[in-house]
Amino acid sequence: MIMGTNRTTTPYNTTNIIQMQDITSIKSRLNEELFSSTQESCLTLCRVYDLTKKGKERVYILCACIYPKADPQPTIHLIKIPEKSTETCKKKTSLLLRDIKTIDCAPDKRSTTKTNARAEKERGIDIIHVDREYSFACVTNEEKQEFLITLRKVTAHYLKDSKQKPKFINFESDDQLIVNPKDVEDMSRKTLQMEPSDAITQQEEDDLTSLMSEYDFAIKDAERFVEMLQQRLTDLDIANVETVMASEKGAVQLMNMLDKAVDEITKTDTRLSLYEKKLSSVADAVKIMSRKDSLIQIETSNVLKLTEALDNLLSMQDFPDEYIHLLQNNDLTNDDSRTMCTQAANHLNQALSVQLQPGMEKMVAVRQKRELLEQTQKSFSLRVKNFLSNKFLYCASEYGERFQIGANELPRHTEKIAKQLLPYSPLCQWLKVADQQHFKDVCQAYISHIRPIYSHELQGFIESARLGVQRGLPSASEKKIGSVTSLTARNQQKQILQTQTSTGSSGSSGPVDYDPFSLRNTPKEYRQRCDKIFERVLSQVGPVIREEQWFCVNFFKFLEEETISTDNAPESTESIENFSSTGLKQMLSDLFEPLDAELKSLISYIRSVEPYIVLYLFVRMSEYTIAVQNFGAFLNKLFAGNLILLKRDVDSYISDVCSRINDYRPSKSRRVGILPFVTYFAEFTEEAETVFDKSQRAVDLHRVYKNLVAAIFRGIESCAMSAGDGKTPPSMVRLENYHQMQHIIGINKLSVLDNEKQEARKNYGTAKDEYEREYCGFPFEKLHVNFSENFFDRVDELRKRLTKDEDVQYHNDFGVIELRRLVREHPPKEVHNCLTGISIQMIFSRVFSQVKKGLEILYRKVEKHLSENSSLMQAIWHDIQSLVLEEHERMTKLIAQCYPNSNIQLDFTVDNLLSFFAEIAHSN
Amino acid sequence: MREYKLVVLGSGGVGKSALTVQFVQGIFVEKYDPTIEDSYRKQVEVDGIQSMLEILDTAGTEQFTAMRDLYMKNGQGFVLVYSITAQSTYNDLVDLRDTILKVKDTTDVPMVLVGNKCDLEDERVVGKEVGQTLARNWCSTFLETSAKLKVNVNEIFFDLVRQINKRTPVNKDKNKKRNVPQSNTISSSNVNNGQPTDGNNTNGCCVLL
Repeated sequence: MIMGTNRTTTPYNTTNIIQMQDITSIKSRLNEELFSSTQESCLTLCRVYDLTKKGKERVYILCACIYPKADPQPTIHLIKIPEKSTETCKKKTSLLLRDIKTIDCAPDKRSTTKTNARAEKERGIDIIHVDREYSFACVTNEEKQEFLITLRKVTAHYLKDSKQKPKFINFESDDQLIVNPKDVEDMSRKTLQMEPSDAITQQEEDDLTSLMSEYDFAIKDAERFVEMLQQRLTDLDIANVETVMASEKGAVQLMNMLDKAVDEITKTDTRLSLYEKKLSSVADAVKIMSRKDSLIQIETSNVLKLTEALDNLLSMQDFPDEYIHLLQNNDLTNDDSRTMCTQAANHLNQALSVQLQPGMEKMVAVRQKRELLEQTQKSFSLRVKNFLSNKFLYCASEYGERFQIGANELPRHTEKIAKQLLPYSPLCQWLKVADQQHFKDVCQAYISHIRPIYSHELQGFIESARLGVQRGLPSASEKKIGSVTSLTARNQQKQILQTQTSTGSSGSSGPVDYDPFSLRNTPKEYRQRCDKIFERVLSQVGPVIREEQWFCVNFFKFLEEETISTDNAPESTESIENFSSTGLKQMLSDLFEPLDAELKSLISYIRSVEPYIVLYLFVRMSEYTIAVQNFGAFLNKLFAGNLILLKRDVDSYISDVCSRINDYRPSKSRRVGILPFVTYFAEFTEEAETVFDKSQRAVDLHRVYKNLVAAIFRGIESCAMSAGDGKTPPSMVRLENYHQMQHIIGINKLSVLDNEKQEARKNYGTAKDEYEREYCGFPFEKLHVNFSENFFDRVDELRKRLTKDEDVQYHNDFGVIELRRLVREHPPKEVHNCLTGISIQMIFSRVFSQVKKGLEILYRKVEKHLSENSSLMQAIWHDIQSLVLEEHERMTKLIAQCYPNSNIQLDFTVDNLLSFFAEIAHSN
Repeated sequence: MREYKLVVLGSGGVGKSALTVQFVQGIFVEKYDPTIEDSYRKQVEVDGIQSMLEILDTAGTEQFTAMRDLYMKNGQGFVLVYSITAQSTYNDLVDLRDTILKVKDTTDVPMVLVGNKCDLEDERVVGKEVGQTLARNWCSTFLETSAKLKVNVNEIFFDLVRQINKRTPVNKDKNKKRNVPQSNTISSSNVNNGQPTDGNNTNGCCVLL
């Protein structure tokens, strides 16, 4: 064990004793020899060589101590180890820790010998004191580390607040800086406790004991034991010396090897530094290369851009001359050469669309070429323009007259025009890209050539429709309208008709036999005919417009703007047609310019003949408007606009009728009967129901109904009022007409008018009650004016005031005689007078035959009030019968109550009355 | 009696007809039938003056825009309706208003912005403040209404009549006809008998040379 230490740590001086001792034993020895007297305690120590003294390989001990006093000053002692074991240790130098400036833990410097520079750096400690500089090398690295760490802790602990403290340089383990002060205190305490310990350690003691026990005789024979021990010691010494001697060779070998190793290391070192140098030169080279690389990249991209620019330029410059020639001279009518031309023209466009670098235009060649190309484009586009215009002209002139007045169909243009022109559509598309102005001119040319054809055809077509409308007119109105052949005549007529309709509301200025409240002015078949004609117009116009639209889209390419497909498109194929580009819309409205006006004039013509037909037209138009809603904006707007106008026509027609109802007054010289507008309502609803059957616009019809019925109810009331002093009593006017209204609503099943029906029924009931009461004579006294008073009513009144019914007969004017006179002796003259206001009292006051006659007169009266063959006669007569019987009963009862002993009776019995009624019913 | 031509505008299905019918007839029409065009007349008393309102209920669907310019030209006051349950109907109104101003050729047109269907709070997507902001930008009145529950319905039309009265005060002839005692004497023979063309003439004492 001892040999091991020696071998590894002291290559220089193998004989030094101190090196054979370990740190702890040194510590205890120092404590014993040095510090026990000064009461210091040793905190840490290490063995060092003093490097300042060259040549001498002496081992010193560096020791950090502290006085455990009030003001502890850590001190570092340099202790000289005695050469002989008998001498005591001596402090060579003492340094106060705070006077030390720096402690270099790994000095990098001036190594004395090159060979151990590295080892020295590893183990070296340089201490710079205020007065001096020291330089040590520790014996082992571990010792150094421990020493320094402890020293560091000590410094941090004891010199915490002091300004002067050593600075640690090149100290590795900085993390140990965090000092726990307890550690340090513990350290000092431990050393203090160890101070009184023996020279023999526990281990030694054990060893000794075991040794003693081995030789148990030792106590008895100490001398022999010592002898024996000495003997053994000598043996060991000898063995030791021998081993040392034997190992010297090995040691020398080892040294040599080490020297070799060091040499090798030095060699490697130099080689490494060589490599390093080489590497650094390589790094420079790499830097240069990367710089070069980026330059190359820039260059490449420049070349690329240049190539591109050149390509661009060349694609323009390289435009072949034969193309130019082609564009100038080729025959456009020939299909093949036209295709070539189109290709060349597209190339030309591409060449011209090239974006040149800003400066390039300045090059003469480029400029010239460009000018040439532009010139070519210009001349070719002019050529195309003229060519297309001529084509349009040619087509238009070739088209000829294909429409005959009176024809039922609009000619289609697909065959004659569209198919002829479509092959040229690529030229037109090219033109659209190349030259907007010329393209617009071409559009204009197309419009100006084709529009006359459409105008002619459309006008002719609508004129035919008008003729058709006119031809169907009943002969009477035909005379009135006259022949419509020329445009001027038609216009005049329109004016006449317009004035008629505008003043028509007054009723009197209308056509001679035109009844505003009747649909019989024209037969229903005629109205249906008009509807058919109108439908044909719409069904012809729609497809023609669609075809033209399709052609325009394909020829002029209007569709790219926007093609909106609506969500409610019924089929995807159809939704493609839903074009709404503004250019297309403009072109179509130019082409079909007269169409809108023609349609409107047709509508207004039909309306002027018979306004009711607008209902037909409205329904028809709404149908078509829905049908075309995906066929492009133009058609859509055309129909929708006219639909709105037709709706207004319907509304104005209805309000016209309403105001006429409002103005209507029945003739006073005639029986009122069913009012004409009530009859009209029946006709109106019956036909309207078939017209609007399944139409989506039924809701509009319902509004019309409501307005009409409201007007009619008001009309009935005002007619009844004005009839007051005429031949028909107001109640009868109401009774009959409300009944009729209720009936009409019922039979046509107009469920939307349920409320109105209720109202009519209520009004009818009230009017009937009123009428019957009125004509049965009570409770309206004014109808009995021809009698002195209504005798029985007054009797009844009196009876109620008196305590006894019999007392009535004792009153003046109500005596038995009076009654008798009343019942028996009514003069015939008065009967005659009463004819205007028949009453039951009158009847009752007759003698037997007179009663019957009275009833007959009443019957005839009611019959006269009512319209002919009215179904109401029976109902009313039945009511009157029960009322008469009631009255008879009442009078009989009153006579019995008030004149109990008078023995007076009415001349006739209930049976008599019933037989009268039966007879009258029979005879009528 | 003075007549007022009012036009109700807005996208399809926002409740233009429902509002109009509710105002004119006091009925809520549950069923939806796209309107083509309907006109109504109703006599009302606004601020003590009998007025005849002629209300044009227009089509909301895109198809029927053909006649728009015409009734915009004729209309004196406009009700612009959107549904609070559909953002797009609100957005559409901006264009619509621009068209009105273009047709009328003035920026000062009597107008009421209406957010209808406010009874459907659960389905609301257009906030009240959004409508208010728009109306403020337009300098018009804003109302949230419900034709169903009859909320703010009359207010729309009354407000519009008041706006028209403010811009074009009742002129002299009509005062005479109605024999309304008139305390002020602003009206003179110089007053243009036709209605003033824009809001600048509100004082009615513009002298025409």
